[in-house]
Amino acid sequence: MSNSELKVTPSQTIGPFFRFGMDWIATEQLVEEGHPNAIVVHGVVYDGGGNPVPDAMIEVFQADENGKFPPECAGSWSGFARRLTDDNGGYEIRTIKPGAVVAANGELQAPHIAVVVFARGLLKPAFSRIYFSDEAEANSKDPLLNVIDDPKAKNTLIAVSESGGKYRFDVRLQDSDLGPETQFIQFGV
Amino acid sequence: MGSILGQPLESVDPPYHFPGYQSTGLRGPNRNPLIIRPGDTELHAPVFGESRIGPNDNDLTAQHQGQPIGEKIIVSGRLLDSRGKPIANQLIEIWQANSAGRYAHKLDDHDAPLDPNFTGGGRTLTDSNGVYRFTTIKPAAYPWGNHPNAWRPAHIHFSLFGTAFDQRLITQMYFPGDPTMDSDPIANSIRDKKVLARLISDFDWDLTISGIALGYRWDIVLGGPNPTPEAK
Repeated sequence: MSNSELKVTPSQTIGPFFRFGMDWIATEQLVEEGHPNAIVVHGVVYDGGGNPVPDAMIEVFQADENGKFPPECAGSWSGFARRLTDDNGGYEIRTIKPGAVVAANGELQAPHIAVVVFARGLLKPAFSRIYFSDEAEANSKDPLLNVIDDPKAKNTLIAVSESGGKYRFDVRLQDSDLGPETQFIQFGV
Repeated sequence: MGSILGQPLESVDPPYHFPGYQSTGLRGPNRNPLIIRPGDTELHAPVFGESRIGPNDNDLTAQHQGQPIGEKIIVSGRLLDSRGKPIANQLIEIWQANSAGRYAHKLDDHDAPLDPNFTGGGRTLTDSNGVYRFTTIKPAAYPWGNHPNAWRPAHIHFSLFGTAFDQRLITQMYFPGDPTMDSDPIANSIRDKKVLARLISDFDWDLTISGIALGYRWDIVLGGPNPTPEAK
């Protein structure tokens, strides 16, 4: 019985009033302004009515430029950022594209950022990934993108390259007039 | 090479949609999630060092000039993975209402007093045995607009990281014997009473401090498909 699985603690919603507990790291950037490879990932969280969600929390986690994670990576790289959406449901994170890392099957993956969304009304986290539209060749070989048959669903994972190193990544919690629900991810074995 | 597609683990979490909790209606995802085995990104986790924790961050009664009003309590327990291995040196964050059931948040319009000596946010790192400990004030139940005469049971919100990003969890700790639990749709979105019971702390004489504070013990177990294997 020494290897028996313990009873896992279930999820509950973050609720509406998390700001004063969660905002202490909610403005930190992953790289400083002026970093030569800095990019900005930004977007809006929408509900199923196409309304912006002003009380969501978005967190991202990613490798550094060499594909390394804490504590193995150099310097002070945390790989982590948190944002509380603003009154318009918006968020913005300054970071860099991560280096290559492997998938569960050992294949190299296209550059991507893990993302998780919490909000009032979400009883459990909504995980997904952020890929980049200007990495078309790498994306075409990515083992995760390649198991999504529906091209519309696949596109929800790909941040759209804009001018000035900006990438637009909206999160749609459900289908709406604005587009299809984001392809969320559940982790299995 | 094999596919990264995975089989779902037996889930303890509530569903995205629970009709009794109205806000799930337009916010809970409807489509089937893509079930994958986590990649390198999801198998690592952020590391938060001691430098991120201030001296009074784990004592919510000592963050202002005076003492907050209410029943002082100790909340302590262990952060474990599903094999029972302690998750050491990891960040735990909490936030809660005050002893009148009011949050220090501009959108909380409950007509109960704010306490100038209580904000209600805290954080700490687990020690090498996965143990955490907070000193705080017992929060009160409060009304909300979900349905007529709706009251949230007293609870403390907990934000948890494991050794893998796929273990990220936010949940709520409840108190034993709360008479409003049975009518709370957020708690009861977890349909299995045995699973819901994992969110209810135990009153614990060993944690009480004579003359100062009552103690509640609550252990947290993070799931995720790839807990650190037991040492052979």
